[in-house]
Amino acid sequence: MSSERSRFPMKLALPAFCLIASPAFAQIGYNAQIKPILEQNCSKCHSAADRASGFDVSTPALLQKGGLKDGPGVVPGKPDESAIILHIEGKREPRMPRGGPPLAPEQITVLREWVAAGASSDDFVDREKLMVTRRNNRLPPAPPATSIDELIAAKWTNRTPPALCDDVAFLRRVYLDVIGVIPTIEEARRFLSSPKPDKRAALIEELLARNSDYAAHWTPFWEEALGSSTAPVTGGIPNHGNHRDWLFRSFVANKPFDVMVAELIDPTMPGHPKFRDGLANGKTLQVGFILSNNHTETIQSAANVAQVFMATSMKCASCHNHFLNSEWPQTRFMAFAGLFSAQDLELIRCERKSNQFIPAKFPFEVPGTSSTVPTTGEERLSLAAAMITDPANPRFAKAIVNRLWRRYLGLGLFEPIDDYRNDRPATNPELLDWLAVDFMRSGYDLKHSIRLILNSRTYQYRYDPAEEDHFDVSRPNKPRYYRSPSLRKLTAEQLLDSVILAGSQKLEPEKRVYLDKTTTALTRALGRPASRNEISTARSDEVAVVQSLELLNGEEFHDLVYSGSLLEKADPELLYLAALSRPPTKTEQNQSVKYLEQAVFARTNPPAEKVWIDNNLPAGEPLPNAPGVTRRLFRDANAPLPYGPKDVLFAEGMIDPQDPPKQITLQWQVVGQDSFVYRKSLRNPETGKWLRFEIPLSELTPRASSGKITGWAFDQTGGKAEWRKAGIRIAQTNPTAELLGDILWALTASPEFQYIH
Amino acid sequence: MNRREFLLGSLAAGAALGQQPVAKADSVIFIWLPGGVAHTDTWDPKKHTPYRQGMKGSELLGTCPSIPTKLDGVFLGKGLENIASVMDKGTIIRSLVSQTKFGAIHLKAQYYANTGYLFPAGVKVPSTGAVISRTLGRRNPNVPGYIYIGRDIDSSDEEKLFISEYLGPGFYGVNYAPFMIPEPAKGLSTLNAVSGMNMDRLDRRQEYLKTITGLEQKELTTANKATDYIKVMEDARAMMDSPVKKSFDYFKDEKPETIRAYEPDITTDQLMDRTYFNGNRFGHGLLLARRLVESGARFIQVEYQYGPFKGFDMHENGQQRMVEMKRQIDKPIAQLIRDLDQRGLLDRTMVVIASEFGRTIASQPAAGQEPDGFAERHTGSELVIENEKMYGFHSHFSSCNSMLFFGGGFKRGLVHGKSSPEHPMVAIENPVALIDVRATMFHALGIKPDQNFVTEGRPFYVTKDGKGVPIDALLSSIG
Repeated sequence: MSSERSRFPMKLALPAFCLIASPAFAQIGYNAQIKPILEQNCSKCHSAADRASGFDVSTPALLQKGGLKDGPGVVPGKPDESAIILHIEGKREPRMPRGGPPLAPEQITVLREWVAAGASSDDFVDREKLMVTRRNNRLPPAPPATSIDELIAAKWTNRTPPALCDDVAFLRRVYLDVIGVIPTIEEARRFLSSPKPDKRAALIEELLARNSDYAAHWTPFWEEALGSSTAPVTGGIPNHGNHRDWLFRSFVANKPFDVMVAELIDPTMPGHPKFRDGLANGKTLQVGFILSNNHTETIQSAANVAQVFMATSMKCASCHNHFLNSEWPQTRFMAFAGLFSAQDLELIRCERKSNQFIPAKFPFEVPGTSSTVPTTGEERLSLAAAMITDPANPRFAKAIVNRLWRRYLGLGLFEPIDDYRNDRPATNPELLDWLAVDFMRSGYDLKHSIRLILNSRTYQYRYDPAEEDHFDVSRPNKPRYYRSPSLRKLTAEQLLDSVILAGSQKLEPEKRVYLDKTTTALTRALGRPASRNEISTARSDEVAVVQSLELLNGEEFHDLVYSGSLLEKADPELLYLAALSRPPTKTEQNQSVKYLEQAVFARTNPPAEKVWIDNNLPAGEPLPNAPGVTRRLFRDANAPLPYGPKDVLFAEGMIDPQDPPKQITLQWQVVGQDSFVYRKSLRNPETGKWLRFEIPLSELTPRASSGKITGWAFDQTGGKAEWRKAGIRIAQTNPTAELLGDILWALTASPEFQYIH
Repeated sequence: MNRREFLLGSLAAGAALGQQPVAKADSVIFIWLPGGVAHTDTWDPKKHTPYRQGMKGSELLGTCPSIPTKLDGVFLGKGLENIASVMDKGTIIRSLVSQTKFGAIHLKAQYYANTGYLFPAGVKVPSTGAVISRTLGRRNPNVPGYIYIGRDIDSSDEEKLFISEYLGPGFYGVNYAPFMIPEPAKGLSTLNAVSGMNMDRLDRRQEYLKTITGLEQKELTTANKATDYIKVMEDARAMMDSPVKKSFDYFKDEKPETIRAYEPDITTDQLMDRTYFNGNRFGHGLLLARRLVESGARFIQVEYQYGPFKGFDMHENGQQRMVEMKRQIDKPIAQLIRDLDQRGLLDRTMVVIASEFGRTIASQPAAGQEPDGFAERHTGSELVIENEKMYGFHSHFSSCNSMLFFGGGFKRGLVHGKSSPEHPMVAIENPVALIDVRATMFHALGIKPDQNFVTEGRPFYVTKDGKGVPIDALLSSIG
């Protein structure tokens, strides 16, 4: 395993007492562990009856209060300031217990951890605090004083540093990278016109502080990496559970990454995302990121964890020794997988059972941890989580800093990012180690490392295709110099959110694309996976005809671009600012003016009203699963009602003043969907006269683009209401706006918009 | 370079050892009938045992009489007279076995049938269409390689999401994604300008895009990725003028009698289950598939759209519903075979008919009551058929199934394998596994079973672990 070790001469600074530590996953409780140690070793002198030096160890409160000479016996969170710890470690005279043998190292460890985690009287000490405490005790020493840029430049053969990118390129990079969307015109102006020399660092700070936007950009990546799904069981197949909210909250809070991963894996962590079991064909099926309903699920869960959090590809070793990587004989993998099951796993080689059970074991050496494997599934998962996130695990921190590096520079320090191998060193191992150690010492703070990368010159170099690195699987050891970032295609979410923002200069958080429950032809063509049954940590950024056709002729993309309110301002310069965050050059300005001067091809039509339902509304029927609600449903019309994003739906109704319904909700079915996709509740309508309710399609959620309505339901809770007609008012189109739409389309379809450069 | 590096390098290039087979076929029409077609009433009919109240499950062998086919001594279930008339052009496998019993889980069986891998496979597995279109490339640069007809583009529930997984490109990525055509009559909507946009304006707009792209910074316009991007945009535009677009005009081009020949022999009001009638969608899909082959498409999948307890997924009234389903598929499938043959296309076009599993006698009176999923070895001896609802093949049967091939290098007029005439109706002669059947299909298309593409640093094969072995007995020697 020597090659797993760090390049720097940095032995883990493990204090002696850590070497025989309590198992890292073990729980600490006052009554179970602390009180017995104190009673056995201290109470003879420091009890209520015999308060030597005025100190009584009978309760946590009295421990804190301390004795007459030494100040508080225990300072919660600070073992090194707690008199009792200093005395029992012999750092302060006299060493305690006075005259007797010293406490066993593991007893001292437990006491230290308990104090560090808050010294509470609880039976279960806060797991997160305990974990952080233990981790902080095991951090590697500080890395050498250097920087990303120095470590990168050290590898160059050409010593001339490349130029930095201009402010516009930086601005877009950092917006898209941190919050997943381009800046507004106003935001761009503010940054570009600022004369301050530190404005780039200030902008990075400002964006990192936009917690919800930051989290919104990370969430879809991790949904795919975890195989997060929206329903518990699909046609009898359990899935990995819906982690969206947990992910979002974790990133909003910038939760330490090791804590996050431990929460995900360890069911005893308070923040563990729990899911209700699913039911299929009379069987209860467990749902979650870790599944072990059967052998296959267990080994796949293990392989998923190894891939996502240790960048280690073990899948090949599921059924046989890894053909291409001698690090992974099947038994080594099966021993690891055993940690994800309540029992050791049977070796099944290419579907042949062997009756040979492989004792569970963590596959990497993690110095200073116990090798005892517990016997319950829950405890094993706790152990797995502790080992995976341990600072001495050679791969955990490297895996995540490499993901960050790839996310912001385009290519990982090792590639493929899910397949770290001893026989294929990273392209700049010093930098990988340095980033990993720095990340651990920051408290596994993702924002810390992101800030570090984004502030580096390396991140800010100008894009230059001549200098751009490439990864070629047939030449994996070819060095990468990072003298230019790689050109990166916007993800479906970045692209569509940015198109909306460009066109309307606002992006409502609840309308961001990653929240769409379903995928569409457009988002799928842009690379959003239709399902997340298998985990994935990378989307392909290739281009394909099916995608171009969606941009050229798809109604969804068309509607996003052509419904932008900015088009009404009739100013092509504004469109450049909105889409590309820069004014047009003189030539570009001339081209756009020329385009607008062309003969008008755009469709023009006056506003028109189409009545779809006259007074023949069917009678109301009670809804079986919504007590008190009556539905009048008009559906399966011969002619579905076409709509566009700017159109307005209307319905004329009258509410009985004597007996108004408690609630009235209109709902719509559209072509291609069985269920009601859109709904709108009518708030406190007037009663006793005919009212016209108008519902602009732009206000519906999810975002309505174009389509055809096939069903219209009028739902009411109790009371009386009448309806006489309903239909659509079709928006007028403005020829100039259409041509401006063409310009905006071209801008958003251009490589300058589609790529981060 | 050590041996491993060499091996990885060669695998990475998608090459593998072994002889490259000579292609006998260029295109595939994959007729996908999900839901679990009762092979016992269709491709592998058993002795007709009419309904009698109180009969034992084990007495029920077949719900319909057998009919002779163009192939001497070979019979199909009644209701497939049209397909029977072209059976001299095809191969039936009646002994497709599966070690994995899928129990109640249609989706896993469908995943397996469409990818050759068991779910979960640990990676996003490409579907057969993606595999073939990627390995062989497009036949015509302006015609999509993989087209999927007859399934809604709808991901509104998890079940449909799962289906998209195994019909999709898997780790191959969006370049190998199917072009989805839910409704053949509507064609591929993105080949047409959106409403309000005409071709003239579309071209001016694209010209404008090209102009302003040329004005961008030099670094960007010379980057390979950016030039590829613009190139693909132009390819997409070219596809709008390509022969593929003309394929969709079948109402205009084809004679009314031809169109009628592709329509089902049943109308809505004749159906017992009216909630699930796809009208002309399936049949016209086959007509469109033929036209797409003529335009140069590589792989077309046509589905009789699956829905739980709909279509071929029949858990009660199995006999009556099977009659209705046969009336929907018989005429169009036979017409496709005839048409391809008459046009001289059948030799180089492989038509496949498949379903995720067969069916057998239920062990319980109704679906959902089976305590342990579906008992594959059940003989029905303890089941009493009390009413006509229970008369039919309601239980999923992974142990034995049928699969059909026409043209494309498969023998004309062959029955391969045999299943037991009595329950349990397992394979009793020449059992074949899906992996080898897939290897045979690939072989006929000139693809080796260990053809692979690299993902996550390892090769991923077109048949599981590259181990499929083509079945020579199924393939014609000419060709």
